[in-house]
Amino acid sequence: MVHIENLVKRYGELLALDHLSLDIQEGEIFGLLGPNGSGKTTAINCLLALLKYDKGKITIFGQEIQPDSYELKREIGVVPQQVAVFEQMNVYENIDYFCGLYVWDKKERRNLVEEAIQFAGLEDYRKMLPRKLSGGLLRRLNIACGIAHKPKLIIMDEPTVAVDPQSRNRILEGIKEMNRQGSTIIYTSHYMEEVEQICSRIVIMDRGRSIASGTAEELKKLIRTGETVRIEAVSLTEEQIHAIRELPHVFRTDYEDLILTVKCTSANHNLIRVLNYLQQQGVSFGRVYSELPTLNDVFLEITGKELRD
Amino acid sequence: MRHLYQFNLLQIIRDKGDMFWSLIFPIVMGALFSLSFGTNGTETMMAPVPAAVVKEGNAMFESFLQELDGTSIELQELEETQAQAALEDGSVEGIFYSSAMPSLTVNNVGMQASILSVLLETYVENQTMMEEIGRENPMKLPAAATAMSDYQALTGRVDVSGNAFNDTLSYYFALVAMACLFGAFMGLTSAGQLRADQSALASRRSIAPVHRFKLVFSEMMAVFTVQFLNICILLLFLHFVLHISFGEKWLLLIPVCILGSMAGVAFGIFVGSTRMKEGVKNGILVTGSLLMSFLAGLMVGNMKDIVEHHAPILNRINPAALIVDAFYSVTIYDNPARYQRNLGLLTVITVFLVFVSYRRLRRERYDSI
Repeated sequence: MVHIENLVKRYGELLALDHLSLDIQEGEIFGLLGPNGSGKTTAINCLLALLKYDKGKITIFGQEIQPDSYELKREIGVVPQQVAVFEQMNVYENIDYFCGLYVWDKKERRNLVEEAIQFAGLEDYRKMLPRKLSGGLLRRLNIACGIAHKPKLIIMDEPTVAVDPQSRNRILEGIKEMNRQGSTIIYTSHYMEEVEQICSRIVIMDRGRSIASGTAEELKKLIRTGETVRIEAVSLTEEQIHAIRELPHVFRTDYEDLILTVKCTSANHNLIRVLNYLQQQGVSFGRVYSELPTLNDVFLEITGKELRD
Repeated sequence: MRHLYQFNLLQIIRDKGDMFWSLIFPIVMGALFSLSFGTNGTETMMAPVPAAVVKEGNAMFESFLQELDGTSIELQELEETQAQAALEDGSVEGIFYSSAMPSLTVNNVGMQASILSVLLETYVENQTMMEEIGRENPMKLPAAATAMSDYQALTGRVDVSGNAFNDTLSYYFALVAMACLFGAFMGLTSAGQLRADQSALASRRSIAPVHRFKLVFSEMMAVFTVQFLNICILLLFLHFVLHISFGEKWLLLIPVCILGSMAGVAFGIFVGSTRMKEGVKNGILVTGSLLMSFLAGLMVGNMKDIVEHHAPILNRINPAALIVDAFYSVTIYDNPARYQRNLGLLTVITVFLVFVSYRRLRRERYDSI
């Protein structure tokens, strides 16, 4: 459905997109994951024909997109990163305005606006001005304005930034629902949990490049970490930390602020082995956590830095 | 297009900040002017302007001046040296030279000098017709001169307040001009909502399947409409609340208000369509509109005449001065040619600003956002 080939975009000396290639299939919720400044929004803006690019090719529904590809644009809905609504218009009017840019028929539009209001859970706020809405409701309005015309392709650029958990869950459920109703979704975020929760396929971006792609499970299999053990331990010596690193399947240890972090490859009884060692050494320990690898671990292992850096 | 226009209107009307500057502020200023000058008792009967004529053989021009003697002007026939002395000591405001190409010398700038200048201007504009009448029917020459100029208008009969010329009117005219230019703030807001590299809202609108021309044109038309209505409200306030009279030909002021509103808004869109920072743009608009209004006489009544004397080109390119002069042309000078020239120049300025702005705003792909 969307094909990006060897996309290069420079801002002066800065290489924002470095031969980026993506293929997005119909019916997917496609996640673009990467830290701030990794090129996600630049890629989206190129995709929407808003930004000039130096090299590459972009096709949507098999056609190259240009600023005047109006028929193509009619099938696309965009939820921008920043809330982009009219401050002087109420919730209903805002959705009606943006829907009206795509749908000219008044009667049809009225139904679509009502559906979008219900979808975003804004029934009780239709006459309210945006400045009276909470951050979460404002984000929901931002989404409703982008999807009211029922597009086939929805591009969401970090739609949950600065949103409370309740609204975030509602938004994520909504995205899954839109996907069930037939929309293909491109979802960019630097929140790995969200991407993992809703995306059927993920591309991890860093410095304008795609550094890994696949399903969440496939991505996790790319790295050594199979389990991360965290233990609140008092007074560990350098020798003891070194000895833990020598245990089977352990490949990395960190001890900071009285928290021992042990990275292990995928194997059985990793946690028990570490705890047994601490008991043998008579080391007091408190809370114990065992975590399966996350996309942050994937990013950390590939790039050497945290996703949230 | 209608959908876009309607929503743009709605959004502009509800923008309290912009509406304050383009509607409320001029009304408040008008009320303050009224408190300062008063609307009653400030009118002064314009006495005929004392002027000398140095006869140099143009009988037709001399006849024209004779017709105006005692009404618009108080004419003295003097030798050149006497006339110069009279001008120096202030006993006359100007000297007409009745040569084949009549000319005027004045010592000061101001309303009286302007009146003399308008008389000469009118004669020159109608010279050909006068010559024809002089050749074919010399008996009717005085009547033609009277009918053509009817310069009682300048002093007693057809002026803005019925029978008297109100010196403070120039301030109200300049106020209307300032209000027109303050439409620039609405233009600035609109331009910001059209350039995708300047706001998220503009970016969102730019990716919609709407032709760029429709988007820009509907936005401009909505702002023009609101600004014109604001100016109409201001004129109604000046007329019905402050009892400022705009004369019998007030309908001719409507095209001035339309073009003035367009020029003001176009100025804002022009500045807004550049890539300068928001603060800089606002600074340019505030400084620009106030400076233009100042030069048109907002703070010093005869400033426009001073500019006319020293740098007339400024009065031709300053929309505020053109608006004020068009008001004068209708309400005081009754000079259709001057009125048309002002409207023509306002049109040229507006078209230029709109054209350049559209060239910038029609852009759809940006280097950076």
